[in-house]
Amino acid sequence: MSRLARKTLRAARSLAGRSVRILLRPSLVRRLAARAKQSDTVRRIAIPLLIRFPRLRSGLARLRVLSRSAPSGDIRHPDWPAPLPAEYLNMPASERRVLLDLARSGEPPSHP
Amino acid sequence: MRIVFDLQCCQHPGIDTHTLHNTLALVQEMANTSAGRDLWIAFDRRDPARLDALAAAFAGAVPPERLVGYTGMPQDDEAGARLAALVRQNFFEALGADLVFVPGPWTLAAGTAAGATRPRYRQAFGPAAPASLAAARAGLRQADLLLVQHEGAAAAAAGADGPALVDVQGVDARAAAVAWAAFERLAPVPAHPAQEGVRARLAWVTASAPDGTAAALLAQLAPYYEIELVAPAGAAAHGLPLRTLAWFEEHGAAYQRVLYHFTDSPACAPLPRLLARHPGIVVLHDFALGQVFDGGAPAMADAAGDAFGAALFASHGYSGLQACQRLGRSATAAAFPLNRTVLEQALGVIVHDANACALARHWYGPHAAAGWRVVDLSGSAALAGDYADAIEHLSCRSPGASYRRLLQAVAAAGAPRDPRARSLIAAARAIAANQPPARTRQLLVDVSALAATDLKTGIQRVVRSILLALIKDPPPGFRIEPVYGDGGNQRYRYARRFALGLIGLDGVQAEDEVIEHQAGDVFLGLDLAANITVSNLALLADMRSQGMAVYFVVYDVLPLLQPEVFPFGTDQYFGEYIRAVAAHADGLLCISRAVADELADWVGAHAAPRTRPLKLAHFHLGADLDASAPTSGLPDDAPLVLAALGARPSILMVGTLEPRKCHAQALAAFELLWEQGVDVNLVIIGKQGWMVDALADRLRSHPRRGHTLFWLPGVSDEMLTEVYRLSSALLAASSGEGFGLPLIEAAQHGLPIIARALPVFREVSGEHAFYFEGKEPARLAEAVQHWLRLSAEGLAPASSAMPWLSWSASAQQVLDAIVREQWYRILPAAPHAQP
Repeated sequence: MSRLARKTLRAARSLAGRSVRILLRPSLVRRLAARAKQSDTVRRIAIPLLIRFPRLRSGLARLRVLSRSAPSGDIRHPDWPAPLPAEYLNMPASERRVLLDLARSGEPPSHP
Repeated sequence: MRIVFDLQCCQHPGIDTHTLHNTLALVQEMANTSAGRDLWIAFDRRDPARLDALAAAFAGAVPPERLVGYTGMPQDDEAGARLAALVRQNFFEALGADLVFVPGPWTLAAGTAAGATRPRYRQAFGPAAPASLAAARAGLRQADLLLVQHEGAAAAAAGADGPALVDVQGVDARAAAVAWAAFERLAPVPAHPAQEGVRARLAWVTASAPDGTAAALLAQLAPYYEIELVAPAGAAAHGLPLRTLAWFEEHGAAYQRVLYHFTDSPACAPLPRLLARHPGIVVLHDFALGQVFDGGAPAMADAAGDAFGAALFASHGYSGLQACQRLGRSATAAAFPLNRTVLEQALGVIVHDANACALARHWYGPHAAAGWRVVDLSGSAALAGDYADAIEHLSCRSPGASYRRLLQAVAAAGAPRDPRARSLIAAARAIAANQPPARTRQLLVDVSALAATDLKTGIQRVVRSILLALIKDPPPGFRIEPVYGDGGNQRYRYARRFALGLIGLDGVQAEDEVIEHQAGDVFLGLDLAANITVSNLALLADMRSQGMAVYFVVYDVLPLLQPEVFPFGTDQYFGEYIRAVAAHADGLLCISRAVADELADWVGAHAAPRTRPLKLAHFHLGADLDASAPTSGLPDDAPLVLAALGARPSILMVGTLEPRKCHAQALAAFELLWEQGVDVNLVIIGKQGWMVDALADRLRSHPRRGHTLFWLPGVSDEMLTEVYRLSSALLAASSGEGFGLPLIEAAQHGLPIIARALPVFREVSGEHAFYFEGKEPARLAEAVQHWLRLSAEGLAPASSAMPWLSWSASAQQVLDAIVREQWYRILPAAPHAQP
């Protein structure tokens, strides 16, 4: 194990039991991921942290999700005159169709 | 008669052990004596606690495809219970049930509240305990039959209101026979109102005037329906009321039956829009409908956003779009059916030739023609009766018809109309999940890492090439869909923007929607997205439990076998990934037989015992540069370098600098050769990787650099081709590889190969390479000298006859495993492994 890796791991262990928040800009996450492919230094810093704090991995993944442009204002669809629920964005197409069909039930439906 | 056992009571946490045991004993006895009957078993998917055990209890008695899950919804209040009853009823109607039997204590059964409509199937409950008999008869107003285990109860209650009672007197074979006999005495619910003497109003929608056969059929159907002809103005009406298509668009909802007659003609162009607005039965006079959507625009760029592009993508996905770029619009319209949207929107489909069913199965998978009615127009005697029967069946008993009834019932039940209402969202989720498989099977190809960032790695090159080959030539009945995940068990999404860019349609707008999946779909983890995959295990398990097959590609297991040549910690997270995929996948595909063998050994020694067998396959990578988007351009010093390469024998090494590739051994070996006065070049092509800082410094400052030593990091494919042309041999010194693509590329250029004697190199190169052993520089120096002598004498093994695959053939090897089920090895399940 390299000296830098040992120091990083020691530092990571000293954080055990504490509430640690690491804030990274999404662009930095992307650069870190790209650099880790080629850079020993980045690997030596990042990998011990990821091993010691596995939850960071999903945290990084979540960061990437958050880095997508969030919708601003109401969620709309051309086939519906009023705002839609936030869940609409995370529904597959069939659930979306059924939801709108239910909302206008009594009118002629589309298909699930 | 389709009979469905709904085992929701047996899954209920409130059922006591004794009752569960007795109920299951009767149900299993009935399943074991169900030969010749159309028996299905249904489970509530939301309550997986006992699901595996229940499924195991019926293994052997009921075919696996008849064990089906449904999604219920919470019943927080009376309105919720009514909605839940309708959702459940819709599931069983869409399944085509004639009788639904809910074994167990009826008080635990959800979804039995009185719905707004009477179901299109009979319902049976029980066996009911004597103490609850009176309450059961009062509470189960919609039941047709109640089984009891109370001698004399049936006779005592004869003539009273409520369901019929049958005393099964036990849970043994005799009780099962009594129950079956009681079920068979139940008359089925009338299939459709026509059988009850009602004459429905029918719209006969056509883009052209009915010809002789159609006119005769219309006349014969007159006793069954009040028929109105919907056709272009001026069409011969054959004495029927004539409506225009525009009029029908506004008033179509008034008809009880609608028949859309589709031919492969541009005249039918308005019909898909009408069908979407007023669902009805589609009569396919031609199977393919390309001309219906082809408005004549010449270029794909124009088509991508119009009805043609939409129909092409909906029917044939990226494969259709890619073909359109290659063939042009008219040729694509002639080559592809483009009818998937029409078929999915139809309440049912009538064809006049069984060949249409075969075509549907070919294009869209084995279940594509399920429920279609074939009416042979050549026999006239029973024609009208057959036609009317098909119309009534499809209008009343098809899943689409059941869905329409559900919407009407929801409206009548006074459900909220705001799509933000929690109950409506829950109902939408349950209803969508409960629809029978109707889409084309999907091959979901995970491109999570590549879609996020293209780092131009070797694995990403494989992912791009295999994906493009799959899109170009998908397996029959499958649709190729690249997907990506974000980890954290969030659902995968379609990688629409990525895939459109991959096939050259960057400008087309598309949303990366959450994926739909159904039983029969296949998930292929083609990309190496280790962190995302290990954080999606619950999601993958759920996908598997819904009937999907899950496979991953394993490129190598070198971090586990040679951890010392990888950065600190690689073996730990990579080991976690391999353990995860070995535990959760149905099968793993390796890029060589050598990797498959190494993986099997490692899994056997280190992975957790599996509850299911693990299938292993191997395939070889493709090597046609054209298919993998080659790069071009020559560096400024190219003329000098290429001249030096041509001046003396040049030994070439290709690949990222990392300890595993043994560049250090090669450099030391060539230093020995140069000391001995051997006039030979060493050419290294590859970027600096990890743990080679000292080697990189040595290469940069080496006195031979630019004379007989060349290090070319990051050259284009064009430059690489030039270097291959001028080199004498490829040196493959790596101590471990998953495949060894540079060996094949060398063979394509006719370049002889000096390779370490690894199993994978022998697998790829066979007798077409010169092999060496040993990690010492002197051993390699001897081997190179030996090869130089053989080469001078013309005795060095030639590589030009070495076999290699195109990416298309490579993709077919992948499909041999995951679609055609041709596996190399199957690792057995551990006998006592816990799920």
